[in-house]
Amino acid sequence: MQVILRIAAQNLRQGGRRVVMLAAALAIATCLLVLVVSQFAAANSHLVAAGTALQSGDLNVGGAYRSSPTRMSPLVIDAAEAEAKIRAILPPGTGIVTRHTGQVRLVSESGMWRTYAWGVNIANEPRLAHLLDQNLVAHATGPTGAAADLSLPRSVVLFESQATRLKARVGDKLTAWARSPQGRTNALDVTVRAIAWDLGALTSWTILLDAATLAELVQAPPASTAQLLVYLDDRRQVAASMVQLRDGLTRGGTELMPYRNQPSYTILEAAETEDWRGQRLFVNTWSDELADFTWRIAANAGIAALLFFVLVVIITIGVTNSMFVAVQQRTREIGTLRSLGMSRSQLVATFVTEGILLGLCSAGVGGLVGAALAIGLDAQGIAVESAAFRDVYFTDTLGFTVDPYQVAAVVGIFALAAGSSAVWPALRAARQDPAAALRNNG
Amino acid sequence: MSWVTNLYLQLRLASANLAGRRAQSAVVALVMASEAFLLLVGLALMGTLDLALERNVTATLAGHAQIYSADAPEALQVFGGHQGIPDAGVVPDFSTVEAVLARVPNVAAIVPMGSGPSFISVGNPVERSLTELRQAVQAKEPSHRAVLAEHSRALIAYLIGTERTSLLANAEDPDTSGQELDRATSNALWEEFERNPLDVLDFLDNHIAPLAGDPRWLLFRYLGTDLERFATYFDRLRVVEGTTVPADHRGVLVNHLYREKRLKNPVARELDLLAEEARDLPADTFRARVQGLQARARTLLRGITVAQRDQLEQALATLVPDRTGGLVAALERFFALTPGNIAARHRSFYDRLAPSLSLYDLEVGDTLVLHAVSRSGFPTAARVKVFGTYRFDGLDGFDAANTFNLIDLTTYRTLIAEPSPDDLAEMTALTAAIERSHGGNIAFDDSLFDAPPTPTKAPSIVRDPVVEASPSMPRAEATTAAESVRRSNPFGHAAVILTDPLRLADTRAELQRAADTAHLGLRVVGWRDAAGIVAQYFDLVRIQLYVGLTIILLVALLIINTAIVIAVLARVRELGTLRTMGCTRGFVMASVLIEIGVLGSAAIATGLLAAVGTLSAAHAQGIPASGNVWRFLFGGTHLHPDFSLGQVGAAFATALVLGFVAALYPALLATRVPPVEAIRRGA
Repeated sequence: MQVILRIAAQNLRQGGRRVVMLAAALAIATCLLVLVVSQFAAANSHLVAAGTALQSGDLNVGGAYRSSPTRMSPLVIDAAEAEAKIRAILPPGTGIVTRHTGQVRLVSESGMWRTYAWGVNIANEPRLAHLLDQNLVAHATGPTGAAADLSLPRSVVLFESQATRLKARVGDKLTAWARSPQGRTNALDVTVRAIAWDLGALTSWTILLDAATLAELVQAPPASTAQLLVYLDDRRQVAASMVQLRDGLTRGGTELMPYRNQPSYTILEAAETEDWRGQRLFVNTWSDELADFTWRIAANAGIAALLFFVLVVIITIGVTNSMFVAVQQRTREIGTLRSLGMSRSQLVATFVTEGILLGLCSAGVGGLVGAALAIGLDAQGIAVESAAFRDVYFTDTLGFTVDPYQVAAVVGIFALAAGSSAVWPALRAARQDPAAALRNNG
Repeated sequence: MSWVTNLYLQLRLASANLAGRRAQSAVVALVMASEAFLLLVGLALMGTLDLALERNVTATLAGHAQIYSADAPEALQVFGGHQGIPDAGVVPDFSTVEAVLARVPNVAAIVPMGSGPSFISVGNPVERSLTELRQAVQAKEPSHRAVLAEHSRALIAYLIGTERTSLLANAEDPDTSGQELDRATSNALWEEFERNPLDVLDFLDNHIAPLAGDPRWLLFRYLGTDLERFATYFDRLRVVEGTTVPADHRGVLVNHLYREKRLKNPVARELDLLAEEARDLPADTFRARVQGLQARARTLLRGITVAQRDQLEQALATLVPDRTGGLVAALERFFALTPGNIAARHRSFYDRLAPSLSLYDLEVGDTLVLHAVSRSGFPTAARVKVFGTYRFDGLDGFDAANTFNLIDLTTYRTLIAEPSPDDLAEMTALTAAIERSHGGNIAFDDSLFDAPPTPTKAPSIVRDPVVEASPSMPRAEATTAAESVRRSNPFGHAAVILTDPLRLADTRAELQRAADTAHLGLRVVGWRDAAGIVAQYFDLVRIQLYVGLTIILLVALLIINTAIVIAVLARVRELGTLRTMGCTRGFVMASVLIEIGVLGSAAIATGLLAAVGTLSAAHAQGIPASGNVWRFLFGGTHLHPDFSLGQVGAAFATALVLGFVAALYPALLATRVPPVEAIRRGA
């Protein structure tokens, strides 16, 4: 093996311009691919982090309660019982947060804004507090406010474009209107505690109220909640945990709605036209809940996969061609090696090793350069002046996240592609008659 | 050597070389052909995507350019933005604007528009049936009235028969309501109806209809426009059902897809969705949803007449032969769906059962009350007749446009309640007259707020807790001709249709100049800006695609050209031999380039032919859009890539030039090597 490795390395060294050019092309391809993949990774992680702080848990448990077949409220009537059941099913360490929801009309002196509201207990939601604090706007004249102020009674946190429409500043009082499930209208005065930057479509229809205020406003039955956001230890286990949770709940006698891979509002909308009675729960995952946004992750993955595939094909063509030339140039050498007792398979192994070495070295260098560039660019924090970019990725900066495993995978696959492209030329070399090869002047 | 001999020699040399090194030439040819293939396919796809957006935006709502008020509080986004439809202001008078701007060269037409959100209430079948009956009674149409009365009675009887307990659960006083339900189905009441229809209707409206549940409030986005002009200049508009709104009539054309998604019977809608998703759903989810469908199947029977029930029974008998258990049981059996039978059942549902059902909360011919909020913040309402449903031909996948329902301009003006200049002049004149007669200031506010107007109840398709349609509201299809002549015409924005869309930039500038010169206070934007966030999204995804394609092309070129370099490098010795035979550097260089030229041209032509074939096949078949993002990018369910001769030429030239560039470097190397050295190295 060592001999083969040495011969392959020497051949590469003697390959001259041919090898240098091919290696450069491979390195550039890897470098660019690593950059693209890191950008996608950063964008995706941003999107998921913001989405799972604001709109969704890793898993969500919601409910619909029908007092009569034609009246449905989006409620889990006994929040504590539901939480206890979830805790009994999922492993310890699972975080559970309860939230109220409701449709609220906010009225200021100069405007009106109809929107969905989350009633949150900010002390229990470090993810949300962190996200808000990262995105707080220093408003023209007023103080910035802090996410933690949402724990004060009668609080509301707005997002920039809503505040602009309402001409509201931190400290202003607004009137919040809502209708109870019984059809009664209720109004309360709330104080704007903070204004955060818009996070695209994620925040265009959402405001945050403190949990007690929203519960009072929509006259939610005591002990009820609208949704339980479940945070797992490891988000990657979400599919298995959902099956576990659904099975466990069904076994425990909870009536579940059929699973739909859709956001809760769509699930509830579908349930609205059904006509059973009592309490039913539903479970969905973060990617279901954020389905309006996660298509971007899918689109990125699609573009990356396409890019990867085409590059592998192109590299295969390039390396195959180069190896054919190498075989031609080294006909005599091949003859010598064969007459000295090298078997055909050893000869093939030499060429394949040469391909893998070429791939590994050049893609390795390209990968490292790409990773270094990505880290450098990420540190630069390149600002992107595009409303659409902000809408899609919930950030203003072009970020890059280097995942060493991803880089290693890219390098490994390129090396394998280079190695396997050497097989065909190597087989042709191995078929040559050693005597004829030796006679050849080439 | 004359140049002719020279060329002859070069060509001989080239062909001998190509023939002599077949394998190597084949590789170079293959890579150049792939290069050309990738170039043309890439160019064509990018071009087609660009055209898809332009077509979607310009052919649905935007036209080539849009004009709107320069004082608009928010920038116009024709398709709406994240937070609904932005407030793009109101322009006071269309005729003034048209008089100035229609004269600008290249302007084919200006279509006035105005859009916003309104709400409709639907979903209480009893209420709807009673409203139709009341209209027939008031219109004194005895035959129609008899049919409708039979319909209402059957509906109420059916509801009470199957859902009595549920209905009473909605009642505040179940005992009284129970008695009232009994009365509603009694023969006595319907005999009384013959003598005294309005009293009976009042009873049913006030005591029975509310038990059938709360109406659902639905967002109903409208685009007010000159419907005749709109249909002329947005020629992808197709009426699916019913007719277009006749000139000078109030009316609405409901978007076909909006109606399918929002106003269809939930059972039918769920069946559509299941048929669409069946292949991707896990087995237990599919089963659970089918069970849900079966449990709700009987709601399909709401609101159908006795005759329809008979037809339905007959149709079902042929589809599900097991006759035990009556109609509801037969329906449940029909909905016993499996992934294997769903496609066939879905078809037979529409072919055989749907004709006897009423599948929509809103039928053509119904009257709707649209509830909106005027720009100054007070509630407005307008009653309109549904004349038909429409879709944009071939643009079903462009969701952004398919949420708008088209209404006439008069109704639009009622909803925004913007006083026209004539109104304002009339108001000023009135104020002056009153002040003259009262000799001073009058406290208008006091007189207004002391005696708030009391709305009177009128029958409508909806029961609205906020605003009731008042009897003074014009009849749903009343002619609007007189009004439009008398009044000037405020509008929100207007689409400008150009004769030559390619001259958009120039015409836009001219329009802006003309508007500024005439002090119209207008802003003119191109379709891309008017599309707002829709175009920005598109651009973002497109940029990502472009970056991806560029990287692919770049790396492809690098590798491909490495192949050419390697091929020529392998000939260094031979080229050196040529030099020893007295050939000049120029001759050697030319020989390499000519060889690449000959081989390259043939290879590139082959690659382009393959690309043209692939693109034509893709054009005929259509590349299917998998998922929302692709549907959005493709502007439909399929992308039909197009290419132009220009693109073919550009791909050919680029591939050839790149081939030459790649060959130049090794050719230079070869010419620089001294002949002796060249021979030694090669050996």
